Amino acid sequence: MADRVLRHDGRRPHLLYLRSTRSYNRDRIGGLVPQDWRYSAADVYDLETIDLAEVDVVMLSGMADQIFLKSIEAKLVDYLAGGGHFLLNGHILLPFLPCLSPFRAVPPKPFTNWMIRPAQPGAYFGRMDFENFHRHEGILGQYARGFSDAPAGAQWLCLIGGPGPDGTVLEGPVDWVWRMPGGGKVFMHNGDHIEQFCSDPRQQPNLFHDILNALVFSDEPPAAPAEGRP
Amino acid sequence: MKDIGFITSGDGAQLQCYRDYQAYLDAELYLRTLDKVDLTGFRAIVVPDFSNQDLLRRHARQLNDYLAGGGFLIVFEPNRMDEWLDVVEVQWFSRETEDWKWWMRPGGRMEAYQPRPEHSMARAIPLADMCWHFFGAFRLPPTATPILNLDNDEGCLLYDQAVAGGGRLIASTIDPHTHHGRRFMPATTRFLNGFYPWLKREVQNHG
Repeated sequence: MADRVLRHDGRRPHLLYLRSTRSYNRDRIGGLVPQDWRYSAADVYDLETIDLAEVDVVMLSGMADQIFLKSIEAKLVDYLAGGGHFLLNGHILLPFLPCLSPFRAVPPKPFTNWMIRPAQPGAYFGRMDFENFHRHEGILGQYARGFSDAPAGAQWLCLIGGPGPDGTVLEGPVDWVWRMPGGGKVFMHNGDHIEQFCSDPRQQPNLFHDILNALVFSDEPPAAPAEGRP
Repeated sequence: MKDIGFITSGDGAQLQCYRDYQAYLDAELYLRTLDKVDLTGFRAIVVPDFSNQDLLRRHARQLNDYLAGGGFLIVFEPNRMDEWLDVVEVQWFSRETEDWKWWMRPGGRMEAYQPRPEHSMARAIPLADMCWHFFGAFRLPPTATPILNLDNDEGCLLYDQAVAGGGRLIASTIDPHTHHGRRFMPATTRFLNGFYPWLKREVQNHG
């Protein structure tokens, strides 16, 4: 695999959005990706054959076919190992990368369990107002209803969860980012579509832009993971 | 013969639903390779909401043949079944839910009712468990029994239709699988909690 360092050629990072039929925002993504980036879109099933050598970020919607993705896991791992990054949405049922784990729903009551709290938001979520950024028309829960376990060395960005009816606390990282040693990063949003939140280009600060720039340009998480995490 | 096949497009919500209702389902049928499946081995086939429409069109002949051959096909929107089902005419039209946040208003309701409460599905699933929002509506076929109608019979959101050749179609514009599978909207879970036991009874009672 070609050296990942020059994928964005020092100039314009390239995001490839994989469309799934009926994916929310499938025709909107081109307007949300920073205009100084390269943008291309393809059907998710094209991922089996498409050349990723010039792609910096592969973005998947929460409606992507996980049976298919699992079937091409080796190609996805190669891309990541070569320095490519993933921006993933959705509830993982079939982990299609070794770093992924199945979705875990948190107790929906009390409603505050669905409030999104900062863990180590860093450059990804650091400019967000955590009181509001995750509410869709004021409604909690549209953002996400749970989390997935993050691999060792991951940076936990945002938290969700809390006590259930029996008092047992179930809390975890609704958003996390992990860097494969020697490879690229995986940003995992355990909700439906991160780009629905504070990500219209007319909104500043802009969550989608912050995530993309942090994914490609920041040293978070560090190449050598620090000891401990939230 | 098996009872119920559940067609999956492989997204997280549909995979979750199959796991949750597996006690009532006999097989998870991967839409992308549906041509490798003999649908006639199932008494009923469920096409959940938000399936891959491109793949539904690709496998439309198979689904039509199943229905025409006496199969029991259940299809939820938004799948644009009007564009790929041709053994029966489906007349879908665009219609937005008046207020998708009706459930946040005191005394709020979705603008729908059960016109035939004696229908076995209406007996199994109360109106409150059929109401969250919908994706368009149907003109009711003359030979169909409406189960959930818009107020003033402006359109139908769920109907049951006998099809020539012994087939049966249940068509609906509500989307319970997507929301249940995403763990959002308790009414959708209640709907499925009523729907799958009802469907199992139907196929076992009526073969």
